[in-house]
Amino acid sequence: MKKAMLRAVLSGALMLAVVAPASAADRFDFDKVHTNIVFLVDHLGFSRMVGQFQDFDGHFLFDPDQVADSAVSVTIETTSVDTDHEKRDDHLRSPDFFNAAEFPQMTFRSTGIDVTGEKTGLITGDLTLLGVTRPVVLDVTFNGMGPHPSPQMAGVTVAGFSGRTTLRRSEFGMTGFLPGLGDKVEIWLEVEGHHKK
Amino acid sequence: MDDPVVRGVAAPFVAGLAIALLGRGRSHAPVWLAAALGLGLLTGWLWLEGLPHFPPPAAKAKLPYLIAAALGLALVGESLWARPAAPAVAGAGAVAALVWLAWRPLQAGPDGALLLRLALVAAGTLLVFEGTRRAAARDGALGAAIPLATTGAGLGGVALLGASATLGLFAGSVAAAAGGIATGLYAAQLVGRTTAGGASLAWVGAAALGGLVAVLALFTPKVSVAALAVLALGPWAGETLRGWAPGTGAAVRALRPVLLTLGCALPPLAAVGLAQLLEG
Repeated sequence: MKKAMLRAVLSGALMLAVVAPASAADRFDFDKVHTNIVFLVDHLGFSRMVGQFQDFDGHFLFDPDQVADSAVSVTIETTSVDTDHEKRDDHLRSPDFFNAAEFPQMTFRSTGIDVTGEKTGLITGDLTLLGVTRPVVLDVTFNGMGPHPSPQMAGVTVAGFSGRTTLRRSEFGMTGFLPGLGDKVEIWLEVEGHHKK
Repeated sequence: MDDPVVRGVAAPFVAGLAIALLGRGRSHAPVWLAAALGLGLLTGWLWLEGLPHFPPPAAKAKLPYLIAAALGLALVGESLWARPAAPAVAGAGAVAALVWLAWRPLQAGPDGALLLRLALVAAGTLLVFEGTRRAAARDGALGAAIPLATTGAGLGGVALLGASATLGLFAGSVAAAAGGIATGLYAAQLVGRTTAGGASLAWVGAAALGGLVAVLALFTPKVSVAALAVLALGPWAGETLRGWAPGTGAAVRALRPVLLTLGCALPPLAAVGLAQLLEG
């Protein structure tokens, strides 16, 4: 998911190259307070269970003049999965799903960016989950970029993006409770990155 | 057949029962039964989890390969697993399997807690194997199937309470397949058809249970290791209770498997109770 976020950020950065001036290959670290990595999974066809990861880290590098050289890197701690239900979260951490004891992290590393519109783009990258690495494409929207409005954050530039993607968990070996619990996992990313000059 | 419980439990039970009834009293029946257990578990895995990944990325994904290897060794013949050296062979196999299953955390460097857990799992697997093998030497394949069924059922309960439903269901598959075999063999025994041997069945069952226990003990933080340890006592408790029915009469032959079942079931029941107390 972080990779997806990074991709989104990169895409947004591409848009930003047109919208506002920026320095070459600025590094934006995730603002964890205002970044969410959310997933939705079908439950028996009646509803979609919503969860998110509370612990993650990552950054994106953005060069408005060399967008293709930009990059995103995200690491998510799988033990931090949170669906607002302790027993279900324990189950999600078990070998049935995220197998967090054996695979405590999932990662995303971007491999390419395609600009698709004035504020949209596709970020391609490798998602590694449960020891399996597969390509994932994030559909991202650039929300904006500029100086942080808070006086306490003087000198900080903020960039914000939204990202969406869908993956099949079975492709990563996460086959628990198929098909009752859906194979397709929708991922929503709302990302803010901070760059301090 | 869309219900995972049916696929994971009912189908292995029926398969085990059918093979036991078909092979009753035949000289090669113990190996048939070991094959039925192994193939039943692999079929259950396919139904529950789909095709195994190759190479398997996670310890859980290694389980079908472990069972296939144990099945291959069982097909070498009943005599291999009935020999006095069988525990040493099983011990070597258990150590190799555990190193493979724990390969990822072992690569991270020395970890005393991990090594202790591995030692406990190896000891427990050997206890179940040897206890079940002894039961087979005394009571034939029925003696082997009963502790495998009760230990598998207990493991299923402990796994469910330890927050791994699919591993619990797979332990239920072991219990169901062994339970089906035991039911068929008991029915045959009531009409005088006893199936001698069963050491190869003990080997396949212990390998499957040991692999499941290893994944649970190593990678399911919520599982109760103490409860898993208690499970290993099942075959030995069964031996004690079985001894309460001495003699060779028809009534004794009918009663002895019942006592064996009750004895074998006591530690698993205690294990589930302990897991409920500690983790439930």
